[in-house]
Amino acid sequence: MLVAHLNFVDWIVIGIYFAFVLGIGFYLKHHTKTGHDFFMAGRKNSSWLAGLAFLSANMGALELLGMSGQAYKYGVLTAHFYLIGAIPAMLFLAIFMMPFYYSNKIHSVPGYLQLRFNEHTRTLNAFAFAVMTLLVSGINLYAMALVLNAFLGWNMNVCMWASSLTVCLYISLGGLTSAIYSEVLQFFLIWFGLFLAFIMGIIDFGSWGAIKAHLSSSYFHLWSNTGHATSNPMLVDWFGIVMGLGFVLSFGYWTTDFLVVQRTFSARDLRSAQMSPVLASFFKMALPFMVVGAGLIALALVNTHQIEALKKPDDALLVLLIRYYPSGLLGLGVTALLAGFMSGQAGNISAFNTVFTYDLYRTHIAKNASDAHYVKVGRIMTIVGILVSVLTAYWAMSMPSIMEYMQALFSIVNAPLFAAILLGMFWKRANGIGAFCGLFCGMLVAASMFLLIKFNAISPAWVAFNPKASPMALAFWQAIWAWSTTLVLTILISLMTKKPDAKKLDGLVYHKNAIKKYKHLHWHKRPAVWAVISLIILVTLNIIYW
Amino acid sequence: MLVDEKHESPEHEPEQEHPISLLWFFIGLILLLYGIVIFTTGFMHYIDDQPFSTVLAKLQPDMLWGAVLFITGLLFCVINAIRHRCQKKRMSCLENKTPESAAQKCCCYSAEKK
Repeated sequence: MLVAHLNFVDWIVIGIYFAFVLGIGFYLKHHTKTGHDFFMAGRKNSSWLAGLAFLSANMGALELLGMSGQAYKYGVLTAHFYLIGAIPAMLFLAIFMMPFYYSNKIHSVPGYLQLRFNEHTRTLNAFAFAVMTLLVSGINLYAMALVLNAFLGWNMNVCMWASSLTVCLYISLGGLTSAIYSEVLQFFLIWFGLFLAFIMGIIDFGSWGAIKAHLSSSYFHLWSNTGHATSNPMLVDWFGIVMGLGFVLSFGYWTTDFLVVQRTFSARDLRSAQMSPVLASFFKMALPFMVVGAGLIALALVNTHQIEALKKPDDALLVLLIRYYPSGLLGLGVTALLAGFMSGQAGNISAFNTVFTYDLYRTHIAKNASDAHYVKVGRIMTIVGILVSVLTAYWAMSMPSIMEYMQALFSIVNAPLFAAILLGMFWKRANGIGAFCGLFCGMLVAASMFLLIKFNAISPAWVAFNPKASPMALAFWQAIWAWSTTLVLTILISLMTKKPDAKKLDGLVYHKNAIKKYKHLHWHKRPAVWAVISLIILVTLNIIYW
Repeated sequence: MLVDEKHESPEHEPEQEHPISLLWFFIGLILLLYGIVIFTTGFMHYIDDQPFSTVLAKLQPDMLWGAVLFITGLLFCVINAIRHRCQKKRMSCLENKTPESAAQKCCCYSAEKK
């Protein structure tokens, strides 16, 4: 069994992290007085801070372990999640969507739906997002306890409560600023704590070429074996990757999921907000070298009989930590994972308390309360959110297959939302009733497909055109169907009902002067220039690993 | 007009002091501390001549990586301490409406003006 043993020095390293995070929470309490500070981090952050927080909100430990496991199974194909599955969407958010989000001074993504469509659409999305966020937070918590129990032999109850109480304390004290702080810290800890495993792996084999020599050449292609679903281990064809992952799921997540978008709202001006996802895109493209690389090194070690075949692919990164990290460094590796888990939970909770307070509580329960009252509600909802997360984690414990619901949740909530927001921003004719019905039906279609397949009521071929479609391929196709349903229904119903008032659309819908070009600034300060550079790197990486 | 000009901070607007501006300093501090702890542990193993417990331990990854952490942390701390000091100076110059000639003495302010 894969178990690491920590000694005194490792515990000191872990203790330093907890002391820092809690200390900063108490320090930030004195600077967090208004709702603006608590929910928006004062809107004073630089593009670097907002960008690193934006990226880190998605760079949780579960994601790192899961993706290195996917690389162990599928090879370089996994890098699609970091390339076409992220970069175009991040750049689209920065250049085309951010001016609408940021300039309208909204507090949340559902807030945009209220301005553009109506209160019902906002409430539907806010409610779905709040439920999804707490479920994801709870499942992450359970996953963390599971990993730490298996890897370090720690008690699962202690893991869940200790991390939850810490997160609860520093988020209720410092709000979004605390969450951003922990995310940026996590970014550095992950790079400094885990990248060494990749370096040591290469040194162990002698070179990257030596690792490649021990693996099948099909593990090193991004596109050449995606002509047909059966010709690659992921059982997905190029259309599923481009349309499902690259368009619907990726754009749905990176442009509308408030958990990540909230970080850009904390930037000090529009240009900084636009630069945040652009800067993050460069680091996102660097991540596969660590994550996918670790999975491939683990597989090469198995193929050369230096280690036993992994029972669970997700152990790939952990195997490298145990193999290469002496005491002290092992503590740093564990701290990086802990930081990843905890800041993931913090991100979910800070997004939840904002959406609950602004989009549900202020809208339906207390419309004209004082700012201090809303901050108090935000703090209370932080505690409530944490408690619900812990309960969800215990629920997840009793249902081992619940991890599969994670991807399904994104296709149910984010894919239809992306269609509604896309039409809202780029089509003046879209109206409130069309968006509400489209959003509702899109969510219903995705949820129905997931449940019908889960309980064998329909064949996977009905959804993914392949009876042997993998859960990942099914998630891609579910998202495509949900997005298409919302798109088509919103268009049809909007055309059949009343036109929205053109005066109310000012600043909410795209027009030819909507995108700022920053011609008065030097080229290196323009978001569009860096977005183009990022795109060039993306294309180059795809060609190199074609 | 879509883009709210009130949201556009001018390029030379003085930065307000905000708790998050100290974040880089704290990140440097934690890396520095980790560097010291990990390097010291590696050094103790080295002088004690203990048997290697991990693969490639003979390369002393803890001492090397500890040094990398220490140097990076130190750089973060020093650069951000200087930046913080400059920021305070600049704010003080601007708050006191220091005349242009006197302000030239304040390196940060003059750099900003250029």
